[in-house]
Amino acid sequence: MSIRLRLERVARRFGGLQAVVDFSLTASAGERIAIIGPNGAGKTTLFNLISGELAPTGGRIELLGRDVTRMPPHRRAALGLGRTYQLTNLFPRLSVLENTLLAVVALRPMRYVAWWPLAAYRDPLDRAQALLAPLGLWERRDDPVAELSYGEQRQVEIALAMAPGPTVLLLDEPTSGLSAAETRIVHALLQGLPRTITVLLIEHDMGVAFDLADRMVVMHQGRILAEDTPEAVRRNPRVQEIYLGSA
Amino acid sequence: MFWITLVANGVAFGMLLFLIGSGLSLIFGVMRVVNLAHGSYYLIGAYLGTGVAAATNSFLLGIAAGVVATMLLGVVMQTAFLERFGGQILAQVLLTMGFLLLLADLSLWVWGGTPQILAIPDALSGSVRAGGFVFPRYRLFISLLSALVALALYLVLERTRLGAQVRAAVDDPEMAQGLGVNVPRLSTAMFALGAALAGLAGVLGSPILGVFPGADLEILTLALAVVIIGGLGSFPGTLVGSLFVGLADNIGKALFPELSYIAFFAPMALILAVRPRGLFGR
Amino acid sequence: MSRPATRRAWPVLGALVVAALLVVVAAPTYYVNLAVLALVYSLLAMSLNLLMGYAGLTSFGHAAFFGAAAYAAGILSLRYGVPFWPAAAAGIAVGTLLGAAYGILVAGSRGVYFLLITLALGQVTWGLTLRWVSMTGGDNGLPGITRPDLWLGWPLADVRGYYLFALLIAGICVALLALVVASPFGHALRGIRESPSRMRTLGYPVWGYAYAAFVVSAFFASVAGVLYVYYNGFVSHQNMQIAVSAQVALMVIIGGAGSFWGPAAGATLLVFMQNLLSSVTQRWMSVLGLLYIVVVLYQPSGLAGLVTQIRRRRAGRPEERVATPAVLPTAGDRNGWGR
Repeated sequence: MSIRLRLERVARRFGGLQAVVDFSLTASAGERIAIIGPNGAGKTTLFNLISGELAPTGGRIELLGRDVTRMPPHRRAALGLGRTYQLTNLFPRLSVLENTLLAVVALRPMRYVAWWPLAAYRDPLDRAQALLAPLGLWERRDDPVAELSYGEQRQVEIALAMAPGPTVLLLDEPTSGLSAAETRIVHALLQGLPRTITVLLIEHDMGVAFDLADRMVVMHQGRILAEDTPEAVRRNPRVQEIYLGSA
Repeated sequence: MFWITLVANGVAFGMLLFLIGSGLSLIFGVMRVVNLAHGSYYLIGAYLGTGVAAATNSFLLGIAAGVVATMLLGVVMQTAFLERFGGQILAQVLLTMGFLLLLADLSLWVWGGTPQILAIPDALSGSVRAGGFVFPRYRLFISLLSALVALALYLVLERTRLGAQVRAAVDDPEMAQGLGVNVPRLSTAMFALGAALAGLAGVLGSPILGVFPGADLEILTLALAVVIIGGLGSFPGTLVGSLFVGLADNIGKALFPELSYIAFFAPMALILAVRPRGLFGR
Repeated sequence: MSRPATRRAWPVLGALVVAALLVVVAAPTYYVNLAVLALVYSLLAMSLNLLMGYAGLTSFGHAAFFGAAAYAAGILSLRYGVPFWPAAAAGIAVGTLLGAAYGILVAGSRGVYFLLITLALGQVTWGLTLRWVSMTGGDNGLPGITRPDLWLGWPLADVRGYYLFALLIAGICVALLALVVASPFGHALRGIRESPSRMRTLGYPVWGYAYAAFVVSAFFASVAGVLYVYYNGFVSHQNMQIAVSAQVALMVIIGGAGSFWGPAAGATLLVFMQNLLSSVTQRWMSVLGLLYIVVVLYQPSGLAGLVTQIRRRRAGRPEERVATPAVLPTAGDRNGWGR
């Protein structure tokens, strides 16, 4: 199995605060890894380091066999990295369709075209429809995303990350703030992701996390506390003590 | 001799620019407001100071009038207009542009188009001789007074609770608010201080530079160069930037008068390219 | 994406063109003069709108490109006797190259920093032209630039002829701008306005887009500058001042940033107001100053916002929050993009 993502002793300091410490991890093609841990464990910082939005203060990051430690975010995306955000990060005043089209053409050469209307291209439109229709959002394609419900926005969030066809996908709490019914929809959506995509998932809903993950990483104070199969992590007494709590 | 005069003039002008630039920088630092009317404080201070000093025959009263009037102006602008648009950069900059035009037109109306100049008070006229060198006494006075103001400002910023709050707000206004700093009141204080310092610079500058329609824009331009070179919200940056622009402008004017702006424009562009946040900016 | 809106726009556009052509035949010469100015400033405002309205980058130094192009064409024509077309082309080239140079310095900034840096660059450019007396005429400016001696079915030396010429050029530019705005590139600019961080992780080189938008915007501002200098026959440092940069920004705001035609409406309104009011009052500058304050206090979403409000009220919809943030970006943008 080929290695898609490799982190070697990655670290990030903010002033005196160690947000991520000596974090090493490898992820193979098609693997689904859930990263869990209490708030402030450094999970989102880790994602920002992988996506390139933050520069690490130490260590090395490899994506598809290439050293990307110093590579800007847009070039990592071009290699096939996609991500979603914990705090919904969409284009609020653009319509659902416009949001999706931006993501669909993000890595195509046509993104540079400045002399021909986007609406004149048929293929991106079809791709957008294929992404939105299963979510029931095609009918709402002309509404600004700001007018969607929170649950719908979370779904657009995932659709945007999927649109360019990533090979490595970082999902930052895709079900946070969702109702039980909405969580089921997103859960099913994630289950249906192609098994060719490597997925790193930060998740607080343990039902979703344990069900989706092949492997689990427990983070605590910027470090890896445990890394194992979901069953083993569930039984690990240290994890229960620190994270799952006796509650 | 030529060089010494040039440098002395440059330092005096630079210290005047420091009085203006520090206010612009603090207002930007605490509120993220680009205050286009900052040159107007200079203009109003200069006109009022010149008028009052001429009428009362007292340089000190002129200074008091210029400083108090501009301070009030700054406070009114902040509390009655800018405060409500906190965080809306475009609304705020357009408001200050409105004030720039209003104040320019008002001064043109009241004081007319002919340049005015304030006579140097007798006690400060003439020159000081020191070991073969001759310094114009008034420029020495400006430099020393501004240096005193700079020192006081530094002590307030570094040693007092108020200063600590200002520094916190410059770093991150939202965080400072969260930590219990009363940012609106601090903003008003910064406007009062910044406007008063610019007004003071206006009165002090009048005897050597004169005051005329358009002085507001020239001063604003130089003050912008100061804060961009030095780094926004940075005290040492503003001091270094002011002295640099003051010297570059004076020396440039003497050596190649037509292209004197190049003397600080080129370094400013270079700094922007290499350190977008300025020499001392973070 | 708004196809129905485009279809509705056709009759309006047709009416505009007819009205614009009627001006030549029917309007008194004074109003034809104003109409030329309205065209020039409409083009300038629309060029700024590409940055302000679409890319969310509020520039306060736009007069630099307008003025540089006007000066360059004026100097070539006046001092070196260069004929119209090469001088015009050189003027546009100079303004655009200036944009390409300044773009390097500003494309990495955003929000209030972008505003401040463009302002400073614009002001220093102004100071430079003011003091470079031997080249620019300093305070006196450059008088005596003559209109091109061309014949396009009408002599350009005549103001009506020049109006038709300006209408043609501005029309071509507006059509090009419409293409840019509707293109994938234009959509990417709006994405950058909404969320640069998301654009970056989707794979867009955000710096490059901001830079390209800046240069394209400078290009159209330069065309407006050249149209202006040959119309006016005179260029001075006043055409480069912060007052011009701010006024163009005000035109964009009055019209509604991010709406395609709004800035042209704002420009036309302001040009007519300025000239009609200056004939009755000496205090035009104060009026303009008050206008800035009133616009911010009472109608920050501009004419386009007003139209939306009226439409919604007609449609019987309750008072909805008009998208004021569309026009007035907040300091929240200050987490710059990449450094």
